[in-house]
Amino acid sequence: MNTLASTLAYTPFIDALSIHEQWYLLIVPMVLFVAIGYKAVRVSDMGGYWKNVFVFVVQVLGVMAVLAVGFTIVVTVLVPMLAPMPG
Amino acid sequence: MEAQTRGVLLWGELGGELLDQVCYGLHFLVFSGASLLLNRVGTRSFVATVCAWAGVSMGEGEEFLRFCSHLGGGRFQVDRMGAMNTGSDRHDGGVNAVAGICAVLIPGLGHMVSGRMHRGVLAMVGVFGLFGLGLFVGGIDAVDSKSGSDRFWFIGQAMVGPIAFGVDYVHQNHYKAFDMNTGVNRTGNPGEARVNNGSRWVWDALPAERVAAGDLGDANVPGLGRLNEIAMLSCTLAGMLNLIIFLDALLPTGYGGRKEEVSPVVLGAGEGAIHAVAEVVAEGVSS
Repeated sequence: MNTLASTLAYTPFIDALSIHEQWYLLIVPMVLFVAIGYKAVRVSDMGGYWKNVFVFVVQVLGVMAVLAVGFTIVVTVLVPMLAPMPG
Repeated sequence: MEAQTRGVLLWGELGGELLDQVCYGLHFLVFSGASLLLNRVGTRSFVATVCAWAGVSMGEGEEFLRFCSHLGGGRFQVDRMGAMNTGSDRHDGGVNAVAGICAVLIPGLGHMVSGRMHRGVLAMVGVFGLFGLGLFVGGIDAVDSKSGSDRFWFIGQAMVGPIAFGVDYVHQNHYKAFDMNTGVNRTGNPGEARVNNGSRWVWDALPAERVAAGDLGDANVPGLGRLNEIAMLSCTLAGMLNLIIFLDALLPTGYGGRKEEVSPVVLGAGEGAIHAVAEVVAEGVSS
């Protein structure tokens, strides 16, 4: 891919990464950091903090996965059945 | 003259009532909104509080208020002004202004200065992690207060605090330059050099010697497509997370407000009436 990212030298935090094919993986660190910050001010007992963080991350990623499967079914199965394209 | 006086009095009375209602409404919205934002109030308590506030505004009696207390499970307090208390120790802690100011300066610092070091460090990791992830993925282009629709994202990003403004300053002043052809301050393209023409930094063609040396120019690589969106979203999430952390530092709690013991509901039209009504409603809660 002949983009700016591949032609210019990369400087961390200044230049953008070139991971256009793996963009969806970025949800994992994003959810993890949200969970770390949110649960820090939310849990009543810090003893169960990391368990809460883990549950939060699993819940969000799980729901995202279910939504992805659901929308895939809608787009690839239901819509072609309801409105078949000619040819 | 008398009619005029009566008219003024009537208008004054109506105007005063209207003003009262507006004040009650604003007061209620601020308190209930903040409580909901902090997720300290369940939907049930929120609905009950809305009913109670509306009832007080319309002059409903104690029976209605007792009904509201049952509706909310007795988990809230509401005074005539609509201020709501969920029964947690949120309000017992009062306002910690020093922690609030520190939280504005650096994410998590508010918790640290108020003795909650562990929570502060983790909050800081969360906010800086999100903000750093955004910069790492989208480059410094992810924080831009002056470019197209990016400036709307910056409203959320600004809630990270001075650090977001610092990054934006560096972006605007060290990685952008003026385009003499279009008249806008922009990110550079490959083959352009950032040069000072005496009055400002402008984009100019890369000198031949630098091209010959294999130099590609002074432009940074901007984020494109989905990656740019994810990067800006990550930085904005950091700001929104920091808003929650700031409020928690400003209004310290014992955490887990919903698990606190049930407090008697207080609804009244004045200080003297509060105790009487509190007894009535507390009786309703216990029955």
